[in-house]
This record gives sequence, C-alpha cells and structure tokens, in this order.
Amino acid sequence: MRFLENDRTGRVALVLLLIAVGAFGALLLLDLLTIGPGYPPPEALQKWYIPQPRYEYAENGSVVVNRTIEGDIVLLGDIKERCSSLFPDLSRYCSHAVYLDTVSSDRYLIVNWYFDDNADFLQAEEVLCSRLRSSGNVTSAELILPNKPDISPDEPITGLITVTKYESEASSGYFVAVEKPLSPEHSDYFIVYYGVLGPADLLDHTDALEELMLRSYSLRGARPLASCS
Amino acid sequence: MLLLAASVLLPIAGAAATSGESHQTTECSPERDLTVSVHTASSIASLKVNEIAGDIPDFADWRNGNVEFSTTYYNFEGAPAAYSFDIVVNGEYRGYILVSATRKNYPILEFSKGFAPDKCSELMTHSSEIAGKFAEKRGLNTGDAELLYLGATFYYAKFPLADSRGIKQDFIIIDLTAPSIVDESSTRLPVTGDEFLQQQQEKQKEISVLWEALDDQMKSPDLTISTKLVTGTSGYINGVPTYLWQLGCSPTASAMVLGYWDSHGYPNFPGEDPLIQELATAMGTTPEGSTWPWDIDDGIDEVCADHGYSSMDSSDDAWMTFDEVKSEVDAQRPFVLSLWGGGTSIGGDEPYGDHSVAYVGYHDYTEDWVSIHDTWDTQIHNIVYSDWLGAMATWVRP
Repeated sequence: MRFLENDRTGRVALVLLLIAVGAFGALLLLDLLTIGPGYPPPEALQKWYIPQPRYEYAENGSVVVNRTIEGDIVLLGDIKERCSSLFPDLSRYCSHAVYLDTVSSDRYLIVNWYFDDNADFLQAEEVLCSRLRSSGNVTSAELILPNKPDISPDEPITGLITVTKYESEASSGYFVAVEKPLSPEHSDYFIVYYGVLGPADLLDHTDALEELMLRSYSLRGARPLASCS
Repeated sequence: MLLLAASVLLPIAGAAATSGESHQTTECSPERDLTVSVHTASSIASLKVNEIAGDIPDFADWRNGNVEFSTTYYNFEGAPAAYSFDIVVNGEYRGYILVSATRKNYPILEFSKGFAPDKCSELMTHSSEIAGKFAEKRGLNTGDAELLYLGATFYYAKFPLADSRGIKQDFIIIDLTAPSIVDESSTRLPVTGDEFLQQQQEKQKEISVLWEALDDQMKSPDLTISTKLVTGTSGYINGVPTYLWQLGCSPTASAMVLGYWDSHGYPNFPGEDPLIQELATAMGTTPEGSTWPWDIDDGIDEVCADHGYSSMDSSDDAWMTFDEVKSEVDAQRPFVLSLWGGGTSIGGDEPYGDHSVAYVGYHDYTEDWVSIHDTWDTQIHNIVYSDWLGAMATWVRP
C-alpha cells in the first residue's frame, strides 16, 4: 500500500513538474515574442535633442534632405557627432548642430551631451558649471514654451521650465538638464544647450531658441544645471 | 559609427569615396561617360523643381521657378560631384537644388529653402580667414578655393597653399559648415569590407535605374510622366511623420502611421506625444517599452475608435509577402512592421533586434529592400527584405 501511495505522489509531483515546466516555457516564449522596447542606441541618443532635418522622397523615389526646421530657420550643414569647441567635451556621446535664420543671418547652436550613467552626468554638470562661470555670466531663468503646433488645443501647454542662462561673447543661450526622458526604466541623462552664436542680446533671440526647443524632443521635466543654481 | 546613416547618404559618400577608382576606369575603357553636363543638370533641375512644387506643399511657391546655375562642387579627386542651382521666382531667391554631376550618384542630392554653404558669405569669409591664418603660420599664401561635396551635408572648401613664387606647396580643407580645419583622412568613409561594397553595388543598380528612368522622362514629350511609373521598381509614401522613440517602439511606430492618416483625411488624432501615450496604454506596452505584437492592432483600433474612426481597420499578418507589402505601399497605406531578430539597416551599424518600425516604401530590385522610419532618428532607412528572423505586418486601412 505504501508503495502505491508513493507511486501516486510521484505521479502527482511529475504532473506538477510538467505543468511548471510548461508554464515556464510558455512565459519564456511569450517573453521572446514580445516586441521592443527597441531602445535607441547611444549613437542615436547623442543627438536626441538636436532638431533633425526631414528626409523626403522626390518624385523619382530618391531621398532628398529638407533642412528647413521651422519658418526661416534651416539646419546649416550636418549634425556633427562631436562636441562643440565652445564647450567642454563632457561625454563621448556628444553632438552639435548650427542653424541659420535665413532672414536675419543669425546663427544658432544646439549641443547635446548624452550620459548613460548618473554619476557621470552629475560630474559633468559640475565641470560644465565651473567652465561656464569662468567664461561668461551664469544665472537662472524661466522660459514659457508655447504649445507644439501639432498638439490638440485641449492639451496642456508645455509650460514653464527653469533653465540655466549663459551669456558670453562667443555664445549666449540656455542650458537644460533632462533625466530619463524616454522612460523611467532606462538610465538616460542629457545636458542640452540652445544658444545664439557670437555677441548678442539673448532676449532678442529667445523666441527663436524657444522655437528650436519645441522642435526638439520633449523637454518635459527639464531643469537647470544643478551645480549652477 | 559610420559618419552617415541615411540611405541617401551612403551611396553618395560611397560614390565620392570611390570616384578616383572609377575615374581611372572611365579613362581606360570605352565605358559610357558618366559625367553629367551643367546643361543636362539644369534641365533636370527645372523638371524637378516643378515636381517638388507639386508634391510638397511647403515648396508650392517654387512652381515655375527659374533655376540659375550657381556653382560646381567637386570630389576629393577634383572631378565634378554636384551642381548647385538657385531657385528664383519672380526675381527673388527661394532656395537651391543640388543635382549630381555624375551618374554614379542619385540625380537629385538635396534641395532646400535655405542657402547652400557657398551662398552664405559669412561662412565663406570665415573659412577664408581660417585658411589664411593657417597659411600665414607656414609662410604660405592661399589661392582660390575649390568647393567640395562629399555627400549630403558634407561641404568643404579646399584652399591651395602656395609659396611666395606662386608655386603650389600644399592645400588645406575647411569644413564650410563649422567652419573649421578638417583632417582629410578622417573625412574618408570606410569603403572596405565585402558587405559595404556589396551595398554600394546594389545602390549603384538602383541609381542606374533612376537615371535611366530620368532619361526616359526627359525624352518624353509629356514631362509630367512620373519616373515612378516608368520604372515600376520602387514605391514610397510621402507624408509619414518621423517620431522619435517614446514609451516603446510599437506605440511610436503606430503613431507615425496614424500621424500620416491625421494629415490624410482623418484629422481628429491628437499630436505626437499624446497619441503615442494613448497607443501605449491601449496596446498594453510595458513600462520597459515592450509590446505583445498581437495587441498592436487592437491598440490601434481602440485609439481610432476613441477619436471617431471606428471604420479604420487594423489587422495582423504574420505571413506577409513582398507582393502584399508592395501593394500596400502602392495604395499609399503605411503600416507597422514588427521584427523579431531584425538585421541592420543598409549603412547602419546597429541591428534592430525585436523592433517595430513604420513602413514607408519598397525597392523591388535584384535584392528587395523595404524603407522604414525606425524611431531612432528622422531619416528614411532601408533594410533588406527578410533580413530578420520573423516579421509581422500590422496593416492599418481606413
């Protein structure tokens, strides 16, 4: 009798084991079949906040570049996959681009530093603030970004963002820091600079810079550089 | 990482980088001369300006614009690479169009309402100053600059450096868009590797087809005949927006498809950010950004219904064929393509893996390609059809 009981227990255990293996296999299969996240590689993130040109098909099927970003502002040349010489080389994932207002001939610079490590990001903020203070005037400022044109009217406005204002002879503009803007699950950190090149009254160019910010990836949650506050 | 990733850029750069070799072949063999004259390029520019004006609303003001030759850009070896033409409407400058000076590259390289770097006097002056200072340090003088075009967005000026007797000693290259001195060696693109060369050969086939189609179009008494109809080898959909990754590749790719319909008769969809958010919620995208592929169509249907488009029908197809893909594009219906083990785009260096993209075109050549918006940038990428372990189409049909 004991033998039979042991046999029955063994069978039950075997069935349970098979069910567990089957369930595990099914979960594994489900996991394997899910699509995504398809996360952008660092090489893409290094220019994430830089407004990019549009690529369109010509009638013959070839792809052509449309450099007009918005209104009279066009991308001048290409997006450089390296840091601007005006600012320190804070990250190996760094890009910058120059934009031209074809009416006023003003030139605007956007620099994007990308970090995949929080400690590197915080250290970079410190280094950058130190360099900015030694080369120009650093203060805090608030910008009100209007709605993106393609957002429905009932959407809340992008709203107020506090930024780090930088003014120097070489360039004046606004720095923002953005933490994990793509997903709270992924460690991405950005420092972005939107500025005008050359000596200029920054207030005269704030509208254009705000326009470029709107053409960037979402600045939701952006803050000024911590070490400059 | 390659300097350029867009499908349009690689063949251009490749053509530039290999032009020296090809140039020699042309000299030593009775092959067809691949050089395009300024006169021919001017005719092509005139034709294309009107096509662009008709196809792209932002450029409607280019209609009947005059094209005026501006300058010739060269490659590293000194052969003409591109001709720049100003677009003039009623006596006013409206932009420029860049036509290839060789049939080894796509006929139309760029167009814009802005200025080509050679038209931007500030840049040219600054470049000359940089070259002048460099020459001065070496006790040399700069001569007249030769403008270089080494692929989309790669504009340079090559200044000869001569001694006091006027004898050329060296040269310096300035990146016109920086402007800054560039190291010539660092601007050359990698042309080694069988895969890259094979890609170039495939691209060359495509380029040849496009030029032949253009030849037919130029000969036709009815210049409105589309080259697309003449060749019948490729299809594309203009007007699909390019959104960058948010919340997950599947909701982002799906939002691009609905964004297309938003501007094609279904205007109730919200803007980019809220649309992606709605789709991510509706298709149950995880916080990490993963989506169960069979929920993509349900999510799209739900969002469409929420905005009053219950008639919009989205459906999965895990057994899609290239013919189906072509007919969908020919019907001007972009769709979501979800890849398992997706390969690398042509010219790219990062495999897609498990990834959803928006499908916007096809190339039906010896090797079939599909054209996609991949959520990683705003470029149109090509990937060889079936360069994946598995794929599923999510058709979106009104």
